[in-house]
Amino acid sequence: MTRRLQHKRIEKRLPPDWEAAKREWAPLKAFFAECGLDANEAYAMAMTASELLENAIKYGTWTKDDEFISLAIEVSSRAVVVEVENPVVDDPAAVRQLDDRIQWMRGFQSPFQAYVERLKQVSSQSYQEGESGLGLCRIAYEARCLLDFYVTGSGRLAMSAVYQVGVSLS
Amino acid sequence: MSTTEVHAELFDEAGLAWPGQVCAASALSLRVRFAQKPPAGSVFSRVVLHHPSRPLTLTRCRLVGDGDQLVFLDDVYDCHTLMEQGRLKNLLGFFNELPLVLAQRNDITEGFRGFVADLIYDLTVYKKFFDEQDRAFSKEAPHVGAAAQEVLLRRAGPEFFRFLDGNLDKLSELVREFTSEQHERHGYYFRQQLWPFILGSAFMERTNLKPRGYAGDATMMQMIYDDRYEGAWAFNKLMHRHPVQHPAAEAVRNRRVLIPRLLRQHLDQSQANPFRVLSVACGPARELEDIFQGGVDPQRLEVTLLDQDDEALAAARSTIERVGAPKKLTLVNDSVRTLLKERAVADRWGRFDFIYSMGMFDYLTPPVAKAVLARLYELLAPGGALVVGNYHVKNPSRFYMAYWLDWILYYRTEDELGALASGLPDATVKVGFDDTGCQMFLTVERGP
Ligand SMILES: C[S@@+](CC[C@H](N)C(=O)[O-])C[C@H]1O[C@@H](n2cnc3c(N)ncnc32)[C@H](O)[C@@H]1O
Repeated sequence: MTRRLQHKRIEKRLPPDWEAAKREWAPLKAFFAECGLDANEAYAMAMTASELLENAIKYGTWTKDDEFISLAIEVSSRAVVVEVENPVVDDPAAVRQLDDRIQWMRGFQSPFQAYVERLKQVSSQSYQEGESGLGLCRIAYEARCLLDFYVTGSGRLAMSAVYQVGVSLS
Repeated sequence: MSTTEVHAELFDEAGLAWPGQVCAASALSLRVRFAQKPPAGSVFSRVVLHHPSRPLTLTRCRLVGDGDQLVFLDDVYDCHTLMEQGRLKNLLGFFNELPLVLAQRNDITEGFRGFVADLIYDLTVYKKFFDEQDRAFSKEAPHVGAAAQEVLLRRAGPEFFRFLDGNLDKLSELVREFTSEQHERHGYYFRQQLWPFILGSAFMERTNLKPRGYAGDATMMQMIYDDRYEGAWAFNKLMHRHPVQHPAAEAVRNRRVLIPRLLRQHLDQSQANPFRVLSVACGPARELEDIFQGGVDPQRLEVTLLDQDDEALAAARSTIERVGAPKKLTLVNDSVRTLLKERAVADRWGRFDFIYSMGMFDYLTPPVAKAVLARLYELLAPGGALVVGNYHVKNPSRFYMAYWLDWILYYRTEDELGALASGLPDATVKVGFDDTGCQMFLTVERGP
């Protein structure tokens, strides 16, 4: 089954606060539906976008007043891409850890398996909020997205989620 | 052994506090130096541990041994983690999550269940047969046993491989129309069921367990390049060899022909001396063997190898030690995801005449792949070429890899691979295939 999605792209700058992120939810869901995603998919993608925004607010480095989050969404025939960019401090160890986690998580055919393996480690230990890495696993598992990231030329963290539409493997 | 000592209060069943210093006695028990010793065999209803990182409360425990060792009665704590990291690690914690895992077998199609049951039955029959022969062989002198096993592999191996191939065809037939969600669920179910057989193959064990955190590490790549039997017993040898001979693995070995050929072409046309080469995600860099043995003058080459994994770089170094050094060799331990952050990377590294990256773009999603490609293009000298490999959506080993090996790639069509290079200034872009048809090569040349 192949669906044709409408090719559309939006780009936005948002201030790093919860209210602004929350306001995006409804219009984004409507936007995804407009492009041809079904109700479940539109919901899942709106959730993914807001989780990524939330991460950007939580883990971004906000030191100056004029700093912002960039949100870019692109819908094309085979994939939906949500990309969120935020400033980060230059911390090679932290980026390395994120890199390892993303690869580890994406290494499993089943995001459920990644989630369970992570849970196996986390459920037996008392982790502090944010250090467990379970949040990313959940986005991948619940929204069926592939997460990936890179650090841009201006030192911002660009985190993206890709949803492959009706991937027919035949 | 952990030596950390932490102050604690132990509360007995009457609510009385017994202060003391606590350290790990073993993986599963603690040792206490009490200020005042409680009666032997005392039971405590809780322990408050004043760990420097945070206070922790432990559940019911009893004094055993000489009256200073504590074992727990309701939970099983990892006491080393507890003392060293101040983390409660209850080894039974995951038990509560098992229903989640058990529920994964819902929604498995009848056809798939039947297929898996038959496959397990047949594999068991084969394994028993092969193992029985090996047991008999093992009673012989080693050279006699080895000769007999060779006969066994030669006579029965091809038939067993046909059996495996037939099952892969059936698998493809069954899952072809699955949604990605169904693939994930059925794949998980499949690997749970076939786990003992998966562990019987050195290659599949590694692709599944991913000891370096990802599939495609240097050891797996060497297994593919070596294409040999591994393991002592015939059944294990065959289970290892079969995936290593499949088309996707053949496509990996083809890199050793294709990359040297392309490099040679560009080298012959180029005036550059030294001719600067960069391999991105180099792995064991086995293609250097073919490049150096193919008559290229190593003194004309400056080679930079980049990989995120220091084990891969170590493997690359030993390849170099075997085949001889280029004029200059640079090893870089970094991930391409962070490489991009340095605006001035071209100033620091200089520009390259030939850049190639095999077996990496298959792991990058479009936004990242596009950004990485643009950045690598910036590193090209005028007239230079960039070659990028990516498996095609029609990879015939796709389901083998996904279901048996738990090895997932970002497959692309020709158009999708070509589109990564769209918008690059002054670039000539081509997409070609290797002989197996599973792997594409994107070539991007920069104008002179
Ligand atoms: C499938 S192997 C390919 C190795 C080699 N190019 C070959 O064809 O034999 C993948 C290699 O890419 C490396 N790799 C994966 N992601 C990377 C990244 N983001 N940055 C740098 N290296 C990466 C891995 O460490 C591994 O050695």
